[in-house]
Amino acid sequence: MTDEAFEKGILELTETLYRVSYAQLRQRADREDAVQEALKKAWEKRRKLKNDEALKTWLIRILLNECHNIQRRGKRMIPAEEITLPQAPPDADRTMHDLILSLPEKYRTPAVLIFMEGMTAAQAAKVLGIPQGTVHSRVHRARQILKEKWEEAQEE
Amino acid sequence: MKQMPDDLSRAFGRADREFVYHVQSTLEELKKQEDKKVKRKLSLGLILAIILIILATGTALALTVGGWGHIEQAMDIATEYAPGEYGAWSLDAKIRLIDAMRQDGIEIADKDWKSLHGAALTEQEKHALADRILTGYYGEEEYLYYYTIAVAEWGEPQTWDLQQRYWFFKTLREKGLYGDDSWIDLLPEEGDLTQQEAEAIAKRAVAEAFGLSDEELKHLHGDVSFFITDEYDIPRWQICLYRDENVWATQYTVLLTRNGQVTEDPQSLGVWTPAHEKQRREEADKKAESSQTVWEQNAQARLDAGDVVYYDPTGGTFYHFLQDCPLVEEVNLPLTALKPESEEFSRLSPCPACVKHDLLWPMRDRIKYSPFPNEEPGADWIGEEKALEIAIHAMQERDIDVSGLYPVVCWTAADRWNERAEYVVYFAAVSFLDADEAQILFQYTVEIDPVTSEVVSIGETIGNG
Repeated sequence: MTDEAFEKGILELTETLYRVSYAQLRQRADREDAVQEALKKAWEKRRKLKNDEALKTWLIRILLNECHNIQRRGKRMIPAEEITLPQAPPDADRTMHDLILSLPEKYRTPAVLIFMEGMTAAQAAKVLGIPQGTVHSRVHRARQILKEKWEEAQEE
Repeated sequence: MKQMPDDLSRAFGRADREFVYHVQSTLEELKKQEDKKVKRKLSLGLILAIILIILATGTALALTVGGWGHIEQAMDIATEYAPGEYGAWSLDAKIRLIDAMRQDGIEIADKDWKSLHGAALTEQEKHALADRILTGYYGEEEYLYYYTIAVAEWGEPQTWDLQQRYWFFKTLREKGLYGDDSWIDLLPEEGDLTQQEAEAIAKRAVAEAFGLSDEELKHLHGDVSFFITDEYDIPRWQICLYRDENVWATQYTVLLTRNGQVTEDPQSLGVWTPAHEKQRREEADKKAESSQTVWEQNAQARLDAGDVVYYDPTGGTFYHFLQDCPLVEEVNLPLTALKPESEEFSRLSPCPACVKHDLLWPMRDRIKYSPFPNEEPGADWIGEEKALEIAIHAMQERDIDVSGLYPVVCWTAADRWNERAEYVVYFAAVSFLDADEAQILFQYTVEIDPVTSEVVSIGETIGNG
């Protein structure tokens, strides 16, 4: 993969970088830090990427690692579950935005990878380092929770 | 009641301009840092090789350099201002570029040119005039630099001819703007194939291997390079064939020796001959489709079998679930039935809705219902118990105590996402938060070659919550 193709591939994944980091980190500055570090690491290791088709899963894995690093460092000290949800961007589906962000992380991340990034369970399992069956069960549970809360929101 | 949307991609909206710029500018900064950091000189052998190639014939220097002076000027400017920094360009830089454009025959209105060089306009007015001229030719100013100028004039790099490639990257290297020596574009010498001949050979090879018609071939165009690499310094041809305007979507890639023989490089370039590539694609497609084909072909015949399984199209995995499983009603997906005594039935995975604590099953049952691909381990593979033993030993060697962790042995076949078949042994911490659900925290993975028993990697997982 040439550098130009690699760069183009990364730029085409800008929306993916946005969605995945948004699902992990509440603060904009943290998301930008995570993305910057992830791109730096991806750039340094780009020659090791032998399979062009794996760019997306490979990049997401690096980005998730960086998001977790920031969470662990406690750069923003407030645990995700305890802060209020960020205001949805103007072009976002506000209800779904809040519902997804309110999912526990272990359901939210696989749900984002499958429902938003269009990954298969096999790809998500590779990214997350968990068995494929576990991806299925967590995604199923995420879907159950989202559906219950969606219906509650509709009734209000 | 409004239905919950299936597509959640709008939940967070789209990346705003600031985020997009952040990604672009990060990449540009990385490239800039690398160009400054990696100023490797060409190896003596490589220098000699290039000199010999150039000396062997005069044609290498018979370039149509005239007309590209303004691109070279833009490269000089790039030694002062990084891509993305057009807003910081001095007036002098902009005028130098415009002068070079005019010298290369690009039409700049006399009145405008005189205004830029005259005394009537203020500096601010001259900046605005220069911006108007440059964006008039090259579009958006923010990323106006040598590369976008070249693309605006020559088209996407895949369409550049050999002279353009050779000159562009050679000039970049000379100016210290491009430190990558791993791929060097060359010009053919007298007696070598022409670009058109190389493309024609590649198209014939692809047509023969993939059975393409003349009509289909008309839609294929070549991204042609004549080059050496730092790993292989004998000149070769690479022809990437793309369809119609889709320059970024290579359909086929062909490597030729210098004299036009189709060859392959399974290493650094990962290019196979068209015939070999066709075989690889067919094998990959067959593997992807095989399990579905079995079910679809037998679905009707098996519906009376007395048992129901759930086909999950997102992962291609089949689950066996109980008659009163809520997933049956909730998910309206194709169902097929399997007889309990069938071989496929014995390889089913547990339904996630029915079996909440599958990871807590005895190892033998867990292994039996492994969620990984629907194929048996290879006949020459070590057994699952052996894989677990190796994994535990590998962790002990690293002084990681896994005695309190729960092992889960899975395996994965080689496919488009996995370079090799392997056992993957997970070690997880388990705790019960409530009666309905256990919290499973995967902590470590050990990947093992199933044939050689070699431990391929050990790592911590990120899939915890």
